Amino acid sequence: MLLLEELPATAWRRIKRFAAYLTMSAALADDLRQEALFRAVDGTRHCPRNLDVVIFVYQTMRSIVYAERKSDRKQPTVQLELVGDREIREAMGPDDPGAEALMLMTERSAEIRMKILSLFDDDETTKLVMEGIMAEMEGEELCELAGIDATGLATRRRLIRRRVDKAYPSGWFHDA
Amino acid sequence: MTPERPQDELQRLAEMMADDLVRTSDEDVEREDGDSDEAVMVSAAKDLAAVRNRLGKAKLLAAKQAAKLDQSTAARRHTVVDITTARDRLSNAVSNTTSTNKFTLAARDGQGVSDEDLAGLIEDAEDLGIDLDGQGAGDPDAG
Repeated sequence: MLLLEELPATAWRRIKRFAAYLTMSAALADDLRQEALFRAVDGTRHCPRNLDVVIFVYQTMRSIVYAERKSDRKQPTVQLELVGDREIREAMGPDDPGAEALMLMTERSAEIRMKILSLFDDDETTKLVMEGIMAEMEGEELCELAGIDATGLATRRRLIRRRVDKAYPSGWFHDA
Repeated sequence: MTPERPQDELQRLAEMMADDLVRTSDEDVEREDGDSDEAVMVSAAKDLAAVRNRLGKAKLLAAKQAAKLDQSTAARRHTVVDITTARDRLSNAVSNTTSTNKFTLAARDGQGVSDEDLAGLIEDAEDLGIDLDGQGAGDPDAG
């Protein structure tokens, strides 16, 4: 607990952003952050001596999200929270909420994906990099796709993060 | 093969953004963030308060469970045994049992056993689920 209490503002800024990226939603980000911080201090997870506390918290959040995503694939009801539309949720009723939630989540994600890509309508190279990343490409393969070198790729990655952050300061699902 | 879902594509993009954030300098992270240091620390304090609160509850629950366990152990260890009744119960149990080697004490019918040993024996028998009064299973090996 002591280590966390001593973290400076920049560290908290990073933790906040990591949580927002991992959940893509401001409301869920709060829960994820607090869950990871709790696990960091209750002894469930141990921070190695040589690891930065912020990275440790990030990795903890990541493992929570991965575990949830794994169970969502089997029973996707949790993702319903991300949809965020109370009327739709209420109208759905108790009949197979998992399948309905997954369908809504997929529709909403497709919509957000399109909006995020359109942020780069003025920059086809960066858009291509973004599409490549979404298709699980990285490194040389990604450079080849966009016709750029490693420095160019780093510049594009930074540009993507900054522009998307600016367009969706509270998470994609919150602002979409 | 699992079909590609737009939520998975978004997740990959989010991971790339997290990775880029790791590589971003403190100065840039500060510059990019619209919140003041004060606002950031207020939000951090809220997170820590929530964690502290949960930790406190978890400790309370653990202490309650430990106390409950201690209580039940202590209650079992300090059962007041009426020694005359205990001898009668043992004697009944020995004579009711169908197994010849069930109780090594059978040969002496509890004679020569100290009160303390007798109380311990009754407790151990009960712990093992042996019904000394012959109202339940009686001989656990029988039937």
